[in-house]
Amino acid sequence: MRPGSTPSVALLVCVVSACGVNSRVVRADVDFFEKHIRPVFVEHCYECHSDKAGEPKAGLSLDRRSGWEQGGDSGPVLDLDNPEESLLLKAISYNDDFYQMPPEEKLSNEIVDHFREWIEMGAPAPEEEEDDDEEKSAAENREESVASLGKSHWAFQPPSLDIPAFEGELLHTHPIDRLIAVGLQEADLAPSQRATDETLVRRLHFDLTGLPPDYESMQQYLSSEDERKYEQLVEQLLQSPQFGERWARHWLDVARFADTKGYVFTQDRNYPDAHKYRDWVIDSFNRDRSIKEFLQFQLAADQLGNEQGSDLPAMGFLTLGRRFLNNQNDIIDDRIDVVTRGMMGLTVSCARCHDHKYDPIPTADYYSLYGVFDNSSEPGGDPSPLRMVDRKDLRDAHILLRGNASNRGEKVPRQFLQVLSPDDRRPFQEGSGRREMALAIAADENPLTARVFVNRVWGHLMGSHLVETPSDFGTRSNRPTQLPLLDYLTIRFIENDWSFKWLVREITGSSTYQQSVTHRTAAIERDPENRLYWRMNRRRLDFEAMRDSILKICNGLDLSEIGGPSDKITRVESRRRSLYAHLDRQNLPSLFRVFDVALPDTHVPKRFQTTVPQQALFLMNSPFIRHHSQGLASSREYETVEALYRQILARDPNPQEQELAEAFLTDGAHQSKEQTLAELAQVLLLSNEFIFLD
Amino acid sequence: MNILSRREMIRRSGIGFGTAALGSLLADSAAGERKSPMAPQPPHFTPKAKRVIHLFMNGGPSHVDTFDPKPALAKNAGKELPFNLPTERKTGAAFPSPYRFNKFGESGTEVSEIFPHVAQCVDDIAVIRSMHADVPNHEPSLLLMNCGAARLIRPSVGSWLTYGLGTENENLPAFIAMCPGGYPIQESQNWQAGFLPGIYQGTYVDTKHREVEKLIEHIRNPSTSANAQQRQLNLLRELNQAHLNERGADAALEARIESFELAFRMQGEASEAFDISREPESIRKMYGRGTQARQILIARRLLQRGVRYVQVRHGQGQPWDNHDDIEKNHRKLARQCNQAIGALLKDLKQQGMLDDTLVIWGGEFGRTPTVELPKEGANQGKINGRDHNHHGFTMWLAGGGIKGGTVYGSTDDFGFQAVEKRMHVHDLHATMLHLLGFDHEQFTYRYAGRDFRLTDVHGRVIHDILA
Repeated sequence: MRPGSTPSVALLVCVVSACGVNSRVVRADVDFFEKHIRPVFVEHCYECHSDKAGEPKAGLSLDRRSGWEQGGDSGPVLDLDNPEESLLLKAISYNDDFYQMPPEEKLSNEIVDHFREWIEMGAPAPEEEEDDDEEKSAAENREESVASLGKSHWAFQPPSLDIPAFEGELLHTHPIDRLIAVGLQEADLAPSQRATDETLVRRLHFDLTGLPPDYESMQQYLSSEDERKYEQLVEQLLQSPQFGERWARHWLDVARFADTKGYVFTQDRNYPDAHKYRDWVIDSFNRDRSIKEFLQFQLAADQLGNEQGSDLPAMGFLTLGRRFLNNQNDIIDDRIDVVTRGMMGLTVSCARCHDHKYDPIPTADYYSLYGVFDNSSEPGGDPSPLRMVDRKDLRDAHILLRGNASNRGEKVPRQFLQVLSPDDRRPFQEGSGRREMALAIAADENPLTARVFVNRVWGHLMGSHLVETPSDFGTRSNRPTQLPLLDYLTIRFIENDWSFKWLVREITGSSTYQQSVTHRTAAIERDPENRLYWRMNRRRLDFEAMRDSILKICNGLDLSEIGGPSDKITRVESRRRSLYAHLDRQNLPSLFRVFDVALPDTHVPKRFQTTVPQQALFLMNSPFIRHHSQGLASSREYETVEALYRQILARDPNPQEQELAEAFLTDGAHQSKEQTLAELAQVLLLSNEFIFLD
Repeated sequence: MNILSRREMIRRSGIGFGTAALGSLLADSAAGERKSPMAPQPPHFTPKAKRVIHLFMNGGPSHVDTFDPKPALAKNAGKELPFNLPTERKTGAAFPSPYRFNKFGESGTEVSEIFPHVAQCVDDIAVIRSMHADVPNHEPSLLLMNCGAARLIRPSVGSWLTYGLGTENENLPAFIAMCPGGYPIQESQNWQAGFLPGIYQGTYVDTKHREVEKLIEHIRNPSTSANAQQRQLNLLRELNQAHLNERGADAALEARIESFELAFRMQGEASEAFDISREPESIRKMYGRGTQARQILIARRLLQRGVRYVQVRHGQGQPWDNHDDIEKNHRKLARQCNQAIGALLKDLKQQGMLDDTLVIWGGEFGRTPTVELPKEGANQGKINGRDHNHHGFTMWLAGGGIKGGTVYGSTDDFGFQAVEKRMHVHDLHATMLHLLGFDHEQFTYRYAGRDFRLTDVHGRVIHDILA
């Protein structure tokens, strides 16, 4: 919460219940217990002194608050008035004649000091947990609440088809436009007029390929009288290999893709084969692989992919994350997060330490998925260094209480999330269960997965998402104003075998997509955020599209090779598209940060978009911009204002622009013509017209 | 720029989308519109400190050799202590400090002979002798100290603060991380933005360099003259204005137009800010010579110009990590920074800036009072160094809202672990945020379905060190 806002009740609830604290005890004190005392009880004492161990020795139970409060056969073990006199403290300090606990070896002084401090604090501990019967009923309650939340929240319901029947002029329009019209009519708004051909050509080129159209193809389109020219252009761009490249980059944000492991001491941190995953994504998009299969393979290509093994790099989605100093629990947490948020829009990793505060995801579900990954290993090497396989020696995962690795709770079976399972949920049957998990995630029946993908694509094409939190469809996400539209697209997407290109055709084919970015004061007042899509959203080129465009325009872009190894694109000489950038997770070039490139630390739902002077400095002064604007100006072809306008903005200058540019050239007459032309070219490359997409 | 378009820009800019912040920002739009993600804005309550300089002694300086004298070590020199706590490596007998301690100032705070200039300022300093962290390893301890979490990706303190406060001077980066010669251990994660927008990440400056071009990326264009660049920007403004007029008000378009003006000013201002030759001779003399003096003086110039948070690291890697030859090495390291740190405190005071500048000194942990035992490949068999120690160590704070001349908490007789008034790193963060005007429990950011805090579910504000 930012300053200036009032404290939210929800937050307080979260913090308090996150710790399982009763109101009588100060939270910090209970934390002390959980951190310093309970783990010691569990590790050193439970074996003899717990109810679960059968008859607790000497009648002393240390697995419940009443146990140490009541003491054992020798009487009380705590003396809150004289902490030093506490039998418990004496026993663990080996200061008691009779008891020296634990018997094997004295605990460290630090631990003893923690106990002393704890007793001095008044031996705070969380409220006693209920006895077994009540525990069961608590678990049942939990299940009931999961069930009821599952029933009520929109995103856990299957999508439903509900296209209003319109009369008159809307009768035969595109379903997207009819669904959009519902919201617009309610708000008494009209859609905006169709954008100009120039605008649409540019929009389609950038949206589908991430590259600008050139002057010639623009002219060709404008002069064509073919009624199907728009659809033909969409088709042409969908078939170009740059389509897969462009959308692969969007997916790499979801996949928190990078070429390195992050900080792992002095070990080699490179993933030398990371690019094979990227290549697989590009190829999948270009060949219009069913997104269902696309998602499934990324989780279990070892069991679902083709026999030649060429799909194995898909599993880079799991294996190319940060390595957290090789901490296994954190690596698995990262995988659970990228899978559940990236594919299903569920924040399952919130349940690592406690049941999810808002969504029906109990901690047990987290550890059920944990078990899936814990039973998958990375053999590396041939046939693919990126793959995973199931372990031979399967083991059930324990719940780690409060996420603490030294605090093991019950074992849980490997199985799918309760809220997305039928009432008679059964544990996974084969190996790690990863294949079954993949099939359950990317399933026609899963109410989240297809919706989440559709929403991401809509967001990229329209400039805003239907569900504004694209990786959180949980109960705290807002029910989308346009839910029927999301559902329509989802159902039809599934019917079309999860075809990505179908989805792009469907959206770009609507009048909603083809609207102009008009400025209508009345509409802005009624719907300032354009939630109802009464116009197209103006967008700014992301870093990749900006750099690729500059390269292309300055004849510096190499489009000959699709895919391949990563390239240090911060070198001025690099001619590769930006998606091939070598991404060092640990030391991401400041250039990428400045231009809001997705940080590959964790899954990125959507990029931030900032406007800061460092971006301007790069465009004004960097070796990159100087190299390319000078390169362009040094060619004989671009000696006139007209030629520069055509090359950079794919249009002719208007008379006023012509005049301004000529004056600029005259003013610079004291230096070489080439230098002044380069300066003019740079200005056009810096212009808002170049960087924004109407 | 009309309110509507600003509002729209905030939405579009993505700063705080999906966060509680967005709602409040928009709701409070009349009170304080944010033109840019860096525009200044007030915290929860009136702050004592407006800016921070963290002098980060990376590697872990020994507290028993600097600010936490332990005569009991001399008495027990060479003997086993009655207890020995686990640290990264095995340590042996009591290892007395080779340095003398004296009392200074009206407060009589004891300081080791290796920090004589700092010692002159003890009446402005609160020494915390009861710091403790979680583990005896650099990586997690650095992340804990910088980001409040030892392993997972969380925003650094500087990122939180620039997110919360913006900057007083948009012509300079708001959060600067200096480290001469290259990165410290754990590298840029020390100043990471985590899940906050990347723009709140610290800007790394390698203060080994002297030329402004090498200190700040793309600050100058070597092939375009200043005049030519001015003409370029004039033309750009005309073209962009015409483009805007055709389209009607749009905050994103306007903000980008403005960013070029800002960048142009930044070129001048940054060059000036990093140029210590503009300081009077007397000031430069006061800071002394060498890299530490230079970077600390640059830091002061930056703070003076409205930079929100400056972290000054001693050097690449972990210079204070003296597993051996500690006597020689600690003396050398202290000699490099002592005069400049003392000068900084005096200088800030002279300029009236100490009152609202929080100065923090310390490492990611301290060192053992016991000698590190030889281990193959680790300390060359010399038995004259100290291991890492997270059980107890010292940091000191001065300036903005800090009660000078204070000594807070203590370690045991030998300096092994914090025993009285223990202060965890989370408590330090809670206290820092308090001084900067934030309730650490209310300063949150919604990410991946949760409201995150710098202090997670921990942290207490330590009022005893506040003025």
